[in-house]
Amino acid sequence: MQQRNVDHHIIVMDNGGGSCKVGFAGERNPKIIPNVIAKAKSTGAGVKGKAYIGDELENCENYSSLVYKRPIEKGYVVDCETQIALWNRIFSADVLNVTDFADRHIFLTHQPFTPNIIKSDLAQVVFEHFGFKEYTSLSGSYCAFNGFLSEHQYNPTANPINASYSAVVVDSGFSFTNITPIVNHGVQKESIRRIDIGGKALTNYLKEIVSLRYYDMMDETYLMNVIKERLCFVSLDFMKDMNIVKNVENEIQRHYILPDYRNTRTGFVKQDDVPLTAEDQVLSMNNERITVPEVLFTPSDIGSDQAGIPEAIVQSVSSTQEIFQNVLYDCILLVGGNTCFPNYKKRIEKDMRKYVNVDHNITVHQPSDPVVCCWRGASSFAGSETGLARMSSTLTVTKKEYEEHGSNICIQKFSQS
Amino acid sequence: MGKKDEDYDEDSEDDDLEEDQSEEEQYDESDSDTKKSTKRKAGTKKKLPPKKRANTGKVAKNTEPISFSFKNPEYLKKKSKNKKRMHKNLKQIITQENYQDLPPTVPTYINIEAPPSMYPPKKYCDITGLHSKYTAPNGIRYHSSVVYPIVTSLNEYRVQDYLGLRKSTTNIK
Repeated sequence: MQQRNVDHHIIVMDNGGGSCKVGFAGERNPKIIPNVIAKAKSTGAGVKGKAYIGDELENCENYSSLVYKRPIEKGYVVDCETQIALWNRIFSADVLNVTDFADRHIFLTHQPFTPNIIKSDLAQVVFEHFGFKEYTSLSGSYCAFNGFLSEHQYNPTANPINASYSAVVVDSGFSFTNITPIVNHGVQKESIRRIDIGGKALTNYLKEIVSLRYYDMMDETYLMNVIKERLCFVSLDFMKDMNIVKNVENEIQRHYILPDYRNTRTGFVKQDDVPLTAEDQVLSMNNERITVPEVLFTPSDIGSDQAGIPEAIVQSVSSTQEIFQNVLYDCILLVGGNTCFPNYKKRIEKDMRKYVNVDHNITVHQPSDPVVCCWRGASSFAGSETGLARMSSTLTVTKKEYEEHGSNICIQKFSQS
Repeated sequence: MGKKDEDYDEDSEDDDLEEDQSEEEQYDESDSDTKKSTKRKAGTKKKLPPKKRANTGKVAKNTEPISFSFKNPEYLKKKSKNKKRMHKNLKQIITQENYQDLPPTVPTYINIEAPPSMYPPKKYCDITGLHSKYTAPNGIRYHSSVVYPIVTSLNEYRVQDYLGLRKSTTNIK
């Protein structure tokens, strides 16, 4: 995977539940577009609210009371109509400026075990609605793994990955968490584990507890997401920290100044030396800062009966063949938006040690940018000679093939990875 | 199998919270009805109970597009009438995939679900979020006697709100 020419014929897209990462093959940085259509609630005068598609959300004046419509549920595209509207926006002159689809090749990432209905719907969108020439789809976890490998080409000082090209990819994204062991470039499908908790569930949980305890925030999803990203962190010693937050004044507590929509649209964290003014509305975040990300580790907190991430990693790895387990524990790769929580990596390291036999080495890696890691892997895959060769032989469906065999050929080819 | 279906129900509810509440509510009913009817379809399979016919017209309208393929000519017409919820949600799609017919060794969306944790769930005070040792008769967990007056002052709906947060509501809506 040496060559890195930007190939404008291949559009690489990591179509995630929270944001869609898109760019051309061989590029280093994608454009990140929120994968959502947000509609402002109709105002009192009966005026229909404005709809913000994808990146137009940035221009939104007022983030409160937005109604979100997302095409993706648990990582799978269920609502093709919304997805088409969003892709139209992404391919428009404002973002990617692509018009000649008949000449282009689209490279999408997919989640494991995508239902056949969704695969064929997507094939219809790609070939019939947009009319792409070729369509490639590769497992998102494999792309993330590849992205991590390609990162070392840029940064030779980083830890070299083990020679067997094996890793456990823990993709904790917006609407799900998937744990995928990869052995010698091959995805171990039987050992994939999924946890139905992602960033969205965490934001909703924070929104609900804040609404029950302090202010009604049920309409303020955007704001709560901002607060979550700014204030929540993974506790390294949860029991100890829970004892700290018992006290009225403690070092974990932070005050968040809520937006007044004049000076600030999203609010900010109160600095210690700045006194409060009479107009400031303050949301104090105490145990919420740690209990919200804790849900990733103990989903039972919100009534889910699935295991937390460290336990699920152990379940996943121990279901692989015994000879692989050593190398897999030695390379745990964390990607996805939830990886951005402070201390997330350390906590996984710490928890894994509790579950895993001393004979196994545990090494946890975190790519420099866990959100776009998957896209970078896809981009470098599609931009390299070896990747292109693999793509054309097994992973790509051309429009001609589609017209000949229908969407079955997509189902067949894309279920291999 | 039945137990897993329950889980999906709960999850989709969780997701729906993201969308607008007031608008969501009006669909909640019909949504759960469609869920029920699809579940029934999957469960009994051979014969639909006659009860289904007796359901309200609203339900029939909602289930109709499910049985058609994606290219149903009615699709766009219906859409203009009732713009929302025309796509199937993930749970409906999964039901249609007939994963139960596959041998259990084949990995599918359903059986890659992480099994339950080996550790007992932690208990938190519903009011403050701190550790909790006590449970009030109405099901609310509380941290200490300081919180208890608040617990007793809650009305029934509020209690359900709190319990719903950790999905342990007892009465079904």
